[in-house]
Amino acid sequence: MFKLRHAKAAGALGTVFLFVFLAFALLVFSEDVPRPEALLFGGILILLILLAYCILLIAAPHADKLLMLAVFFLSALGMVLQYRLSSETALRQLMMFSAGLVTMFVMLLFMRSPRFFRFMSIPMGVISIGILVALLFIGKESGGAKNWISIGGILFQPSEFVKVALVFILADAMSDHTHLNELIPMFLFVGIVTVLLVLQRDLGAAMLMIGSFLLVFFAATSNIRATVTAILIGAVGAFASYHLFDHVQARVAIWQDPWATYSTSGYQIAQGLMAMASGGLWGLGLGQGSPKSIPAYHTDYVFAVICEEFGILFAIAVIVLYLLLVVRGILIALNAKDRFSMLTAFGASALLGMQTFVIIGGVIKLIPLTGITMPFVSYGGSSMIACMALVGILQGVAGRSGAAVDAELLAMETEDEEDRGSELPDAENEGDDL
Amino acid sequence: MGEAYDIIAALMRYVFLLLLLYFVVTLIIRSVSEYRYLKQAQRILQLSIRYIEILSPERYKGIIFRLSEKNTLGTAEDADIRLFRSMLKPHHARIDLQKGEYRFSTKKKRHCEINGQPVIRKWTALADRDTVWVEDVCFVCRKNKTEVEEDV
Repeated sequence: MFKLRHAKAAGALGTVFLFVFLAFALLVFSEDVPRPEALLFGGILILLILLAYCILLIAAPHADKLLMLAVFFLSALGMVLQYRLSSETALRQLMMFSAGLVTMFVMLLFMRSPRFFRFMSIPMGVISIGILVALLFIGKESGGAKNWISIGGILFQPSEFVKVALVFILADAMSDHTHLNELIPMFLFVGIVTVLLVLQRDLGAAMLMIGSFLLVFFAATSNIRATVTAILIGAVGAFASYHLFDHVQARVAIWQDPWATYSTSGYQIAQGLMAMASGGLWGLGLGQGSPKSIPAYHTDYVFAVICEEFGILFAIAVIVLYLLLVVRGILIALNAKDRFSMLTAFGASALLGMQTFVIIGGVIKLIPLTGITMPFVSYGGSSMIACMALVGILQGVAGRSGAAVDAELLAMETEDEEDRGSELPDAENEGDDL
Repeated sequence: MGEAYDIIAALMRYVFLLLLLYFVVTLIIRSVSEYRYLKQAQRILQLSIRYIEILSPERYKGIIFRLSEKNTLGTAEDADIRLFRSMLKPHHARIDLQKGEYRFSTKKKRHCEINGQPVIRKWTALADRDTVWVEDVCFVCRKNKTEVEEDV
């Protein structure tokens, strides 16, 4: 029987485990006093990944295992870096990774019946705008952006959850309508969200929303003229923001010449560039660099830490891994069984791809730096949970489409068996009689 | 201890890079393999013919054969599509599933036509409603059995 074959992933999973084991074994001796607890931490991480992988195999046999492995490797790399920088933040990150895995499985289960998310898209849109408006008044400022909120003593970043909501809202709006007039409420929503994010000085999230919206809009409508018009409107908006807001001007000025303001605002970019240069092609070695000289080394600038300690070649391989993750996401979207699932999967892939591009592009000074996290690697609970939710969406869509193809193949095979039993003997008998 | 760590950390850079490269290459190779397999499955579901219906000679007219992965056309006892009283050789031609499509092949191309055109290639892809003449045998390729039954 021709049964849909899914790539065997045990060998690649073993590579993740080997990487985790070797890295944490090395970290035991990275400081003056040996830290045997590093091995315990690595062991817990391995067990957690193994458990999540087994649950995935049971809960969704047709889920995309290769995508999951890429996520595991990136998360493991993030955990190694966090532990190298601070064992306390690493422990918190491990807890957030566990919470992220739970979120992923919840999303995966809900995606089995996407009608729920279609029904919830309007409430999600209203709640998203409500939270972003509330942030303008009650939000806490951190890193120059007023985009944090504290509930019960726990700080979280609502824009991370708004971006997950955006995926469903865009997919719902564009799965039934492709005519521009019918999409006006969606345009308004994206516009309002972007303005609110710019007002909060959360430029990274604003860039992310606009970029993902454009990608999903083009994928859904294939309307080049409308997409180019939307890009031009976005460019006009960016130009207006530059002239209206001081913090936007400051970001662009730092990007253009960080060395001019090295001792003040350009310090972070300049330190990041120096760290990457000192790492060279091969890196200085795990625990051998000075990442703590870069502000936000464990969040926004974690890519510079990778370059410094693991080398530029390793960092390029990490970028390839992200590319692979996005490509697999797009393939999941292309094989989706319905338009809503296709657009949600494409939106999730576009968001992950855009987020990676915006932060790595900012760190290497390709584009102005905006404060967002590197998916799965940077320290940050909200980001980790939101990214894992996006992975859950992708796995849910992959699981449904894979199961559907296998069911069709099985039905075809059953029909074949019936045919063989009835027709061929008749034909042969007729031949013999003649 | 410090110097030993420096040396080990310096060496481990290459190990980590090799591990990541191996991981990325493995994922790429398996992705390509899985993608090809999925496309093959989709082609089987969407494109391939699954039945042939005999039109000639008269005594076999209307008989439907369900194609399996490999099919031999001829008069031999072990032929999958056995047309006992015909001008065919014992193992005259083959219709095999290759890369998600059924392809026809025969070594005796002289009295063989597909849709009125002589068979030139070693393997020729068959599509829905293609008409094939082999010696005195004529059959039409079909995608759906229901359609075949309605026509018959």
